[in-house]
This record gives sequence, C-alpha cells and structure tokens, in this order.
Amino acid sequence: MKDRSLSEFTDEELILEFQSNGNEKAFEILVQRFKNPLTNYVYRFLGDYDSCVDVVQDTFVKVYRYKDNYSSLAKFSTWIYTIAGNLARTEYQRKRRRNFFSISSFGEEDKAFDIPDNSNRPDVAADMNLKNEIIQKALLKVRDSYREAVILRDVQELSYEEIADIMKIEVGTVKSRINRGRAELQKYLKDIYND
Amino acid sequence: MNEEEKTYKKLLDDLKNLPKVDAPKNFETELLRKINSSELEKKESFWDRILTPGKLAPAAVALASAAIIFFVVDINSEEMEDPLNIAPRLREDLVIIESIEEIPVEQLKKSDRVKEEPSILK
Repeated sequence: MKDRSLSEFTDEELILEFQSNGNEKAFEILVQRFKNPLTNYVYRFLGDYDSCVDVVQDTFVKVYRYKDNYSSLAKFSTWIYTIAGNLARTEYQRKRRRNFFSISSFGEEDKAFDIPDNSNRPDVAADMNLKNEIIQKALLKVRDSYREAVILRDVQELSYEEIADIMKIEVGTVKSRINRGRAELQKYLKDIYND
Repeated sequence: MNEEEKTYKKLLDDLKNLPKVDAPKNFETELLRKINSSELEKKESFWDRILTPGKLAPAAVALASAAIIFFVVDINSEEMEDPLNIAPRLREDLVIIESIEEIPVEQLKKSDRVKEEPSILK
C-alpha cells in the first residue's frame, strides 16, 4: 500500500522522503524513473556503452551519498542531469586524454568511441541502422558544450529553461549553443542531407 | 516551428528518432554493489586509515631517528667563520703613530733607512 502511494509521488517528493526518512524504496523508484533517460543521454554524449553505464551508476551513487545536498528549490531532474552531465564530461575528457597518450590507439582516434556492436548487446536497441551510427559518430565530433546542449534539447527533448538550469548558463546561451551545435552537426552530415 | 527548426528539420527528426538506449538488466544489482562499497569507503575515515599500527610504527621510528640526528649529531657545532668578515688581528710589536714628530729622533738616527734619506730629519 505504502509502495503504491510512493510510486505516485513526484520526483521531488521522493527525494525529500529519502532525505528526511531515509526511505530506500523512494530511492529505488527514482532509479527506476531515471536510469533509462540518463543512460540514453550519457550514451549519446560518450558514444561508449560500458563507460556510459558506469557514469549513470556513479550518478546514482552520488545521489545516494549526497542526498542532503539536494535543495527542494530545484527540480530533481535538473539536479540529477547536472550530476550526470558533470561526470560524463569528466569521463569524456579522461578517455580523450587516455586515447591521446595511448600508443596502441595512435592514429585510430575514433576507435575508443566506436558504437558497440549491437548484435551482441540485447540491452541496446537492436535496430540501430547505419544512418544512426553515422549520426552518433557525427555527434561525437561536435564540440562538448554544443553537443551537450543539442542532446538535451533534440534527443532528450528538455525545455530551454531546464537545459539552462542543468548547464548553469543563460537561456540565450543555451539557444546559441544549440544552434551552433546543429550547424556543426549538419556540416558533418552534409552527405546525408544533401541527397 | 521556428525558422531555425525548419532549416534543420530532417536533422531534428533523425535526432528525435535515434533509438533509445536503455540501462542493462543488472543495473540495480551493480548499483547496489557500488553503493555498498562506497559506504565502506565512507566509514573508514582519513584518520582511521592513517592511525593504524602498520603506519604509525615506521613513522615513529623515522621521527625518533630524525630527533637523534638533530640533537646528537649537531652539524652546526663547529663555528664556521667567514674569512672576509673577520677583523684583522692587531700586531702587538707595532706602534701606531699619527705624525712623524712622535718618533724619537734618536731612534730614527739609528736606523739605516734614515741615513739614506736625511732630508726627513730636517
């Protein structure tokens, strides 16, 4: 009965329940609600499934450990997307550095960011076709800050205001980054869209 | 739809229709394992890790050795003087005079040097 009522709670009510009463069931419901949107967001940003799962799990570990840092003034989704975005950016930079200094990857810049072979991964949508792979690779070429804004807007379909809160920038800056990101993406995909 | 969105219509449609990537089935299990291990790390504080006999004993030995070296082997015991800063030693056999009149004439006459230069005595 109590679980049923918890599942009807808003995200903010759930985190408050977890904060004030330490109710782990509330945390579990938040995990259920956010694990897939966050996995999709981080995967589109990193282009690597294993790293993406690690980043999303680390995001939830941070939420669990630092639950008291959440302020009820902000939306829970904004808070968790900010944590995931920060961790994803750190992971991306770490991978890029490792790739840069790795002798084995010399001359194979794209290797670390290849999209995983979906035929061996039932947990990834199976019908990712060639076009989607090309789009994903093009996304990874876009500058980090533009890519983040484009993914949040055009893949995750968040509002400009939410993106501004997540990225801690002005709405005007969000719009400009999205525009520049789209332009870059369009440039990398000109062979597809000129047909 | 605004002008910008019309320009990128195809691109936006494709981005929107990208297949959704879901979390793996064992996500919660792995998450629980990570949370438990992070809780263990959290419980063992910095001081708990430092104040173990294994780390305290070598540290104490090192500290004692340093104290012994400092007090017993006093490397500064021999006072080193800078030769450029030492005042010249006074020669007791020399008499300081300020003018030639102070020199007794008899003494001057005795010396060979005065014989060679008699003009000094005039």
